[in-house]
Amino acid sequence: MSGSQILSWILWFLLGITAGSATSAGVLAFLLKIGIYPRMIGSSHTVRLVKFYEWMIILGILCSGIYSEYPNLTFPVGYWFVILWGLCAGMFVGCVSAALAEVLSIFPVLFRRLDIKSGMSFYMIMMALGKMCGAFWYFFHGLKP
Amino acid sequence: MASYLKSALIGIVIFFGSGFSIMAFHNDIGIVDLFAQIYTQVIGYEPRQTGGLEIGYSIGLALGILIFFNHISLKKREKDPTPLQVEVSKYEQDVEDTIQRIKEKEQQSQTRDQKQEKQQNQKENLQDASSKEAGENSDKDIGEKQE
Repeated sequence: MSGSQILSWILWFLLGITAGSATSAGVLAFLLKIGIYPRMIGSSHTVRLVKFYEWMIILGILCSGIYSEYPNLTFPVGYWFVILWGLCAGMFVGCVSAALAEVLSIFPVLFRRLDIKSGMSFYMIMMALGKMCGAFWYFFHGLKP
Repeated sequence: MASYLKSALIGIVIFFGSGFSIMAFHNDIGIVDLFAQIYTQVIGYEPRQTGGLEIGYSIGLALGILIFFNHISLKKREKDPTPLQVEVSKYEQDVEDTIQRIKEKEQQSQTRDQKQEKQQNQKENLQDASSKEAGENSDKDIGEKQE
C-alpha cells in the first residue's frame, strides 16, 4: 500500500466515523424524543433493567446496521427467525407510528374539533385494525415503490 | 343514534386514513426491497409469494399500537386512564388555559387603556388647573389656608 492510499483510507475512515455518529445520534434522538422506550419500560415496570435496555438498543442498531450494509453477510437460522423478526419489527413500527400520531397530537385535536368525549378505545382499535389491513393490502397486492 | 353514526363515520375515517398512511410509509422506505434483502440473508432465497415476514410484521403492527395505547395490560386497572386520555385531557387543559390567558390579556389591555385615559384626563385637568393657577394664585393660597 502506498502512502497516498493509506492517506485516502484514513480520510474515508474519518468520514465514515463522522457520518455514522451523526446518523446514529439522529436516529436515537428521534426514538428517545418520541417516547417509545420510556413508555415500554414504564408499562412493564422494569426501570431497574434500564442499563440492559440501553445495551440492547446499542447492539440492535449496531448489528442491524452492519447487517444492512453487507448484503452478502448471511445468518441462516431458518424460517422461524423471519417470522419472529417481522413480528418484533411490526410491533416497534406500530409503536413508532402511534407515538408520532400522539406527539403531533392528531387525536386530541381531532377529538376536540369533532366534540368527542368518550369511546377512545374504539378509535384506537380502529386505528390498529386500519394499520394492519393497510399493511396486508400493501403486501398481498405486490405494491412496489 | 346520531352519536353512534358519528362514531362510526370517524372510525371509518381513522381506519382508512391510518391504513393509507402506513402504506405511504412503506412506499417511502421501500419496504419490499428491505424485506427481500432480509429474506435472502436469513433463509437464502426470496420467496415468490408473500411470506411469514410480512404477515408477522402486519400483525405486530396492530399489536404494537394496542400495546402503546395500553390496551392489552395484564393487570386491568379500571381507574387508570389510557395514555391517549391523558394526552386529550392535557390538550384540552392547554386550550382552556390559552382562552383564559387571552381573556386576561384583553381585560388588562382594557384596564390599561382606561388608566391611560384617566391619566391623560388628569394631566389635562392639571394643565388646565396650572394655567388657571398662573392667573389666580392669590385665590389658591386663600383656599389652602382655609382648608
